Amino acid sequence: MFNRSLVLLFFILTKSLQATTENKTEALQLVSPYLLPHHHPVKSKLDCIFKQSRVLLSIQSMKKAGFTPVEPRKFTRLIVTSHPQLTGYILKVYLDSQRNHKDRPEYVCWAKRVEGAQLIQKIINENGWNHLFKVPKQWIYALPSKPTAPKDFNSRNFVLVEENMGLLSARENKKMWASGKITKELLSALFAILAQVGLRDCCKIDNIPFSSDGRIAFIDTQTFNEGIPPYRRLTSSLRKDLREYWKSLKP
Amino acid sequence: MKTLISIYFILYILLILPSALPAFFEGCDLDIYTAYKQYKTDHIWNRQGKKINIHNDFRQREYQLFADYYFTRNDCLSLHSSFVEIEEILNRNTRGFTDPELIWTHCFYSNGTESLCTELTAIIPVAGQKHELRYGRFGGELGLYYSTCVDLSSHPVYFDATLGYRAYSGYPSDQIRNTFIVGSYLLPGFYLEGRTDLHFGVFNGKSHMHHPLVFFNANYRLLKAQIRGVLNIYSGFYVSLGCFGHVWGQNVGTGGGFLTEAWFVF
Repeated sequence: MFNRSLVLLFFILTKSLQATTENKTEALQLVSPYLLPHHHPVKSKLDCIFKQSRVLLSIQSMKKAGFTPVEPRKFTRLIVTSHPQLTGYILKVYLDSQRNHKDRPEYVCWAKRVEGAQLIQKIINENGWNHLFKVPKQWIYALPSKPTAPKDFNSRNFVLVEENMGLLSARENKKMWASGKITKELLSALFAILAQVGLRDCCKIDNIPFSSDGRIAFIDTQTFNEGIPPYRRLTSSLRKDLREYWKSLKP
Repeated sequence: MKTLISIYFILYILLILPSALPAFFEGCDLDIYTAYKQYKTDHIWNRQGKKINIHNDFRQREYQLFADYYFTRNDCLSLHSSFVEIEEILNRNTRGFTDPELIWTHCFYSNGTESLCTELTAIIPVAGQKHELRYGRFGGELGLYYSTCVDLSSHPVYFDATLGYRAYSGYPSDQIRNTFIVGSYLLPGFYLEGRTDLHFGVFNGKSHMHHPLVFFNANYRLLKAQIRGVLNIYSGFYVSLGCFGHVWGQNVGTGGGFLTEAWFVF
């Protein structure tokens, strides 16, 4: 009887370990092309911050570790945050105490974001539009193996590290989109990028804001190759004389 | 989602109207019960029953609509449904209908002060699973209901108890369910009622969530206690005010809230 129980216990432990290992392997396979390189200047700083405590447990633990702001975004509940030691970079994170967004683990979202950013950058480079647009360089940072999240929580293993684009405020951005800065040439180029990459969520100015260097930054790169973008969403943000032109553009 | 809500309402009307109309005309066969409940917590009991902070402010508002139709002296058909709104700091707000329950109660023994009935419940999913709101699975429950009324120091006191076994299709665990109600008419037109509800999951569900859930974990156990005062405003119309708390549980939220109800007996 005792032997049987031991065998059963061993079987359960092996199965559970196997499932965990399979999940980790799957995650690592997906993120490995996009991992933050060891020699990257912020790698050691991130290690230092995330080894001290379980930073991603809650809003309170994020604040305690020095991150600001830490409030989740309205729709995606994503936390876009920065840290005084990580000048020039921002972090996108989900907490251990949050549910998976759209039932997908965080690393799937990060991998999609990096892939989308690379696709956009490729088109910008091919067409020589770097003076008009930019995309933040993004990497996935694998959290140190310890400290771990408490057992009952949705343990996160990765965060997204992005170059800080120096974005204008929402108000300033709205002004820029209605100003003379927007030309037919810029709109044609933007239309081409949206159409070629199928950027569904980039037809609103909040996701393609102006940055302090005068370029438009693509900051929501997760939804690509998702059919025809809803171009009309942008129309109302444009100057009246450009609205008809925007509507006339065809893929 | 809108289509599903429309279908749900059409079904609801189709089910209630044929039963409600004769009752309105005949005068004594229909009860309509509405309730508003508010609940909040920031802790759960985990699988081991240990209370843990979920670092998330969870608030729920529930609007309930129940209808009981007595189609014979001994048979009652009830429909229970709710619309729920959940607000959380960390996750997206959730709203929607819970899975409605259609209950057939048949009394096979009654002597004026005591009755013994069977209860057969069908759980009909309105849509797929939704976090903290519904399993979205078909289910059924078979139960026994016992009710008695006695006089204690010149106050009539009633006791109701139910015991049932509930099973779902798919991942949620089977549950043993028990309700115990004791109430007393303290003043003319006013009575006080205490109630406990036990949902005892047998833990044969397949949990696919790896994070705290306040409600609708595939495997959960909950003991809830409630007290309410009921006022008979005029013949057939009652209002109540009460509070409830989660007393014990596993894989479920702690905390509690208040409720207010109104119902009509035609």
